[in-house]
Amino acid sequence: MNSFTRRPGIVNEHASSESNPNTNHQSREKLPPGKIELSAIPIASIDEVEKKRYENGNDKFESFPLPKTYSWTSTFILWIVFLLVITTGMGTKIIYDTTAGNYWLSLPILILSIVLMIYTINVFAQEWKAINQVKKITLLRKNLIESIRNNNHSMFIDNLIPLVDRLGYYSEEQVNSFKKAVNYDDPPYMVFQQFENIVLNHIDNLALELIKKESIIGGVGVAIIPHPALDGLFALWRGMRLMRKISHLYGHTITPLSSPMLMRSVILNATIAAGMEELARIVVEGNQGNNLFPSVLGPISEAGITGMRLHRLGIMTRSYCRPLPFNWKITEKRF
Amino acid sequence: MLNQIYPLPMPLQILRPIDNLITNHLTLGISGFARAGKTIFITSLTQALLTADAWSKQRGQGPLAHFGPFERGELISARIRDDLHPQRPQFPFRAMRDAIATGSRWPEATTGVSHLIIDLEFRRDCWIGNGRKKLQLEIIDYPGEWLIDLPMLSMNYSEWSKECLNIAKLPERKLWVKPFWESLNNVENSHTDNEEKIIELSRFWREYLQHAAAAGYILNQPGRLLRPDHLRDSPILRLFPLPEEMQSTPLGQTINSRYQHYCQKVIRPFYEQTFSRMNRQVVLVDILRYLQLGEKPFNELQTGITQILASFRYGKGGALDWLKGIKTTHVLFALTKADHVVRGDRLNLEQLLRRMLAFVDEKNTLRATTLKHDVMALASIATTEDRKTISPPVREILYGLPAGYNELVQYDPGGIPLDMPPDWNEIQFQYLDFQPTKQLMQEPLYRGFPAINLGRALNFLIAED
Repeated sequence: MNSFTRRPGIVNEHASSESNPNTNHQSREKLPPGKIELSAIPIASIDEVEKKRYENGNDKFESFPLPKTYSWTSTFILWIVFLLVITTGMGTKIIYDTTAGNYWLSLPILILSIVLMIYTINVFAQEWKAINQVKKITLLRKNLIESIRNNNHSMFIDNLIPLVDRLGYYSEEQVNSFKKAVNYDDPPYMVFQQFENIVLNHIDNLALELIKKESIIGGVGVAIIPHPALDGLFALWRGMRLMRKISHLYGHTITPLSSPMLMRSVILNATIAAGMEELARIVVEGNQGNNLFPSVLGPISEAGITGMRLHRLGIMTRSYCRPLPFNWKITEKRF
Repeated sequence: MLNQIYPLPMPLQILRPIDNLITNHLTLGISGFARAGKTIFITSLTQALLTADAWSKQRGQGPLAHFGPFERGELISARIRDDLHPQRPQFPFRAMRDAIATGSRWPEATTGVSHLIIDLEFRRDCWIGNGRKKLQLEIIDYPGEWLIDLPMLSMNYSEWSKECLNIAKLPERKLWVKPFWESLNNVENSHTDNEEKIIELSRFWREYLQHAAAAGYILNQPGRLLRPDHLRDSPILRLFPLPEEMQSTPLGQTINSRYQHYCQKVIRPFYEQTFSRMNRQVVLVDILRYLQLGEKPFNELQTGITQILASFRYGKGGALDWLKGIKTTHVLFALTKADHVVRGDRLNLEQLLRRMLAFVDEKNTLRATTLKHDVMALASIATTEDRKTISPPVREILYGLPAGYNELVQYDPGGIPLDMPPDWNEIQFQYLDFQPTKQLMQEPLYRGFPAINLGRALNFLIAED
């Protein structure tokens, strides 16, 4: 391993305080050493890395590395378009026939139907987008772990920089601090450790605060609302809201269809909240002689259980949305 | 923490043990051979902790970059405790800091054991208390020359003499030890324990050790002859090895008894009271200087590390270790003066030390017995700026003030060898001794000294506490 043929000494070249991100020892071996009087430039910043990508012909970073698109995806989209066309045609025909050619009656129904359809399509599009996003998160997580484990610098940077940019909305100060502090030439695990310290830790704390707040609101709300159905709806609403807000903190969106596991938990929460109301009512009715204790205990237990379940949901969502799990260092130790 | 700057009223002094109970104490030992950079490390680390607030809006930057609690905004404050253990010598932090910051010069080497206690306060998310956690960090400094004495504890006088004289007979040391041999030849027939002769012989032996140390050689025993501290001129330091045939003479018996005394009264107390009570240990190695000094000093460095590793007692912090009195659980091998190589070579520098450790720790004892260990290249005070040339051939270079120069220069020190042992005929690395300069230190009294990987080292050592 003969890799030290750079000769030492004073270099009389023009130099700047920017460093060469290429840390390959062998790459410098044939350069004459010594005093340098050329100008020189500063250390690899994010701007420099991005500039380098432009120079290499890459316009910009993708927002996330996209998963491979399979042929069935386009087939599915074509089927949807086909069904939409058929439904629109048939719907128009049915409305026209029902209103017996009365344009003043059929036109508003038609417009309403179209608006409804657009909204439905939009919802499905959002769901589709969210499902894709979840795939991207999974891929991002896999790529980050793999790049840290294999010390794959370029793969790591390709996945980290878009993530950093996305997180800037809620944590601008932290992201800017990280961008200024980080040396992208450091090994991936060191860069990610710094990213976790400066940015992710801040977001984790924000998420925790949100979880605590939403758990209390959810618990108190369920305790106050008198009807089981309304309890269920309230718990459903707060659960979905919590999921969405936490996912926004981590730079993406979670929808009911994109995360069935979390949604299952939300529905379970709503069911339990409704069931607890009903259970409390049965207990109160069963204790006709002494109503005070169960009628106080009922709302408290409703609030406690709903709050705890919302807290659990929040923690699950946080772990789900985090770019790397909290125990990523165990992965790091493997190499 | 109770404010102990002002003495507490007598009834409240009962609270002190309670306060001590809830405060986490940690002893950080800074080990390393002479001129490895222990003093600079302690000075820079302390100054970085004290000035952390100046970087609170620029997390991830400054000397504490990569120190988790600092980057997460959990480090609230740090302060030096002058009031604790006033009877013990305190590390002269302020004098050292001022010497570097205002005089732009390296401070004098340490002469004895000294301590520095720093109280650190961290923000913690917990249900009880005021959301703050305290850590009392005690940093211990001692002369590097004393470290090499530790293997003497496991040797008798005869074994020690044999080993020392074998080293003294090496060609590179022969010239320096000549006066000692000549004086020893004169004493041969007298067979006496004349104290005057002992003083003369020990002076020659000390002078020989001084020459060897000045040339960068490590294996210089007894180390106290080079750094006597409070034992200066005491008879216990009139100590030197003797050939086997002279060990049974009255002179030999006298020196033998002093050797036993030296081991039991000087080395053992140092080992038990200072060395073995460290919870965390940083072993600083100045490998660059030894690369420059050449093959023989480099090999001695390796031998020296091998010998002192045998004296270390590490554990994983379990109950059994506690019963055995083993406290050291984290060991960091830090390669100093990382600012003297170009940025791209710093990882190579770490690799070089890793390879060296693989040689010196053949049985893998270190890995097997410690809870955590790591290797990193650091510069306690970065005296150079990393640059790269603009016009081709583009290469990384250093910008700093070398010793003996009047102005800052751009310099390429050459590449670091990757092989262990290095191929000495191929090494092109040229060590240039850079000095701290005001041009590259921005307000060190307010913002700390510029450093490389200092925060990362601190993160390894104390972050989990």
